[in-house]
Amino acid sequence: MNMMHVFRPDREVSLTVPPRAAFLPVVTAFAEKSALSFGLAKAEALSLTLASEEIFSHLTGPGAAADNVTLTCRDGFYYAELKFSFQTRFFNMRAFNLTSSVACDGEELPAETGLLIAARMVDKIRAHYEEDRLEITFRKDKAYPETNLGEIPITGPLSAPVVKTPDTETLKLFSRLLLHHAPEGICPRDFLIPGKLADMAASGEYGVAVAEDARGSLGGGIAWWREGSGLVEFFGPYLFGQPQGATTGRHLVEACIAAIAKSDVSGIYSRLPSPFLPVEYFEILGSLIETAANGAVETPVYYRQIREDEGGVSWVHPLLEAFLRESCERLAFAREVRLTHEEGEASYPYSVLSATFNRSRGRAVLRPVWWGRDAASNLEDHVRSILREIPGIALFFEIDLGRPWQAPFTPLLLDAGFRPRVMLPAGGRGDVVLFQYAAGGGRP
Amino acid sequence: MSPLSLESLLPPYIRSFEPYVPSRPDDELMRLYGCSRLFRLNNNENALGPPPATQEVIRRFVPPRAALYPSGDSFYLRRKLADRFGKDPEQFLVGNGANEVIAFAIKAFCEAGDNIVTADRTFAVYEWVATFSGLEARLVPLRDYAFDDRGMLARMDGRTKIFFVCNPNNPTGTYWGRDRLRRFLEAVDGRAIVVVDEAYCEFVEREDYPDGMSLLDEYPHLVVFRTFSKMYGLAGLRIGYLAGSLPVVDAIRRACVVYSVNAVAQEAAVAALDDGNHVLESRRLVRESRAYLEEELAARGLPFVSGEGNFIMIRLPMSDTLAYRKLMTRGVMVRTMTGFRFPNFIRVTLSVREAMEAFVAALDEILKR
Repeated sequence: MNMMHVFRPDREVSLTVPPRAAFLPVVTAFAEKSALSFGLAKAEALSLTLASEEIFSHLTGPGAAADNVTLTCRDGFYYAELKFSFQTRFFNMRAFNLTSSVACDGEELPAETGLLIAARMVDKIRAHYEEDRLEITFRKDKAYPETNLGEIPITGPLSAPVVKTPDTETLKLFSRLLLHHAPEGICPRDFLIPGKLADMAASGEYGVAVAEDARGSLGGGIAWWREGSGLVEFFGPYLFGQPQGATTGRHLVEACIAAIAKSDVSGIYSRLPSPFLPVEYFEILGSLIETAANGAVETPVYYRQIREDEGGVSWVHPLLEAFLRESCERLAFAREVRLTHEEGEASYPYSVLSATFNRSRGRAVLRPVWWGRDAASNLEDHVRSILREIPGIALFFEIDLGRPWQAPFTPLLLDAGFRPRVMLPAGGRGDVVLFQYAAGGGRP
Repeated sequence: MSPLSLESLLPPYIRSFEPYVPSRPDDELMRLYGCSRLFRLNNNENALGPPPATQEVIRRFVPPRAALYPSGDSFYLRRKLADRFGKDPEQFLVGNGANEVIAFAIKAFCEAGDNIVTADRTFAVYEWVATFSGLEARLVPLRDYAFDDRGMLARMDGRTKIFFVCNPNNPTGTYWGRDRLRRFLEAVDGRAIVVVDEAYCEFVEREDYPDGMSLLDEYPHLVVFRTFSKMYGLAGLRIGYLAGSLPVVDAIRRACVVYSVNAVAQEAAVAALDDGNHVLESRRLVRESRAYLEEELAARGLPFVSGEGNFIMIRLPMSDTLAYRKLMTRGVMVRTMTGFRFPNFIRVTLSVREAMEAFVAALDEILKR
């Protein structure tokens, strides 16, 4: 099963141009036409086009891009994304912060205005910087019609169920069953849109397995996906009308594991554990506080390593050392802990954080994109802004222990009221520590 | 300079293929997991090591000879194998471990659009080599932990070039008896090559276990793989071989890398074939170790799959990868079976009593918690 972005000529087009204003029409035409070709509706394609216009205009300014700019537009089936790739030694990423605002005192707009506009045009941005080369990717999701064909009744216990990869119509049926019968709070909202779930599976980013009997009755399913890191998040198993103790849940979990067993995935985890989860296949990494109808609930994070652990190096701030060592000892992970210290080295003035929202799941995740001297105030701004916009949302911050430059965020997080909750082994370049915000908390 | 565009340089099947990451060296693992000794029960190595005469050959190797190329086609070893099995030396090809001869066979017979057929839960290298060669690997589910002959035949089409049958199967220890193998060879009937991988054959004491070598004259499409890594304790020197009919081996030789087997390995292998006592001693060790471990596992109510070969597969009431880490902290290294698509199973090499007792004690500790 394809669990990652695989280059497919029919799903990816690219353009390389010098960073000169004369090429702006070429860039916007490329962005618009390829977005439309990859299935975005006019309005969504326009957003991606405007974002491309803003960022390319910025790159034509002094000192932004040192060489040619390569644009790559990719069809993600349920979204289209546009990647800018260029060499640079200094690029002002500040405007990509969620909380950025533009002060405009005079006639002339500051240079980062365009970046800010670009950032607000799209559904998701990610940035990757390595060896003087910056990649910025903008993603716009496709719009799907809302359909309501009424409630689909569930059938009784399956006789001799078989676990299989569903075809498109079965996927859509699975989606409708989830909409009407899945217990609340354990299913991502995107799964409840039949056309979208079908496209998510067709994209190769999501895997789905279902259990059905010879008559085609659907008794359950499981889904999983991966976004960049070495971990796969799975959802389910979801069972419909199956008796307690049925082995269907176990077979679905085994199908999920078998699908990724020979890939480079290091582990799978679930933050929305299903009541049908066969727990003997998993270990508990820790817990997160989830908001439920009856208040805050501590929810375990189930995890299963796929590959034999190779050990590794974790770069941590001294304030995170005790948490990491306790986690490694409890879970028997062999890690060489290296402490980081600030020793007067120069740093960039501005930090950048990325924010990912999942309103249906009531959570937002912040991730460091860039370390800068304003990190403390930037973090505070983000927390304030997110909580003002979505009161009560569960707020997380991820630090990748394989990227030493992220360690200095630790004391700022503790001061801001975040607490380390879970270590996700090999969740990024190294292990990832997931911090959760607790209102009113300061450094313990 | 433009950035290196690996995406356009690499074939799709290489881009999407995930490389196998071998374990770190023992001393690194011991340092990481904080253990002062390590029982390696993960690779089905022979705890007795190479036969004594072979050890003597290795000891006597004169270091300056390392400057000279070895025999490019393992001349003396092929002659020895021919004597041993009553064949022509040209019926043998020697490789840098059996893994290399798998690649020779696939390269010789398969081109784009072809496929190979094997089981879904068996030694992974057949599937890997096919996949990273841009070929389709058709994986047939095991039936009752054994290769499913009918299922495999049902997957055959005009582009099927090779069937791979691991006999006995790693990791389940199941095997096809003589009659079943013959029936399969007859059903395939020269339309494809049938590789029977007998890496663990020297451990098998069952009467109905077929000796692939004895079938070569009858079935020209049969190719037999064997290794010196398991019974003969030469895993560290990397040497294995294949045997087949003259035209088939002649064809495979065209895709064969010569000079890939070093001089020490060739000489050690020649000496190993003469030591019949080593085989008997190793079998005795495995027999006793299996009896001990089966009894201990039964006493603890742990299900296991115990067949032929110097290993046993155990189903745990916990994740096998978690068990691996916890056992490592106690100085015992096993093989997790998730990668073989047997989640919650571990495979344990049958070794000397001290190692097996250490394993059982460590298992008790991790299951108690």
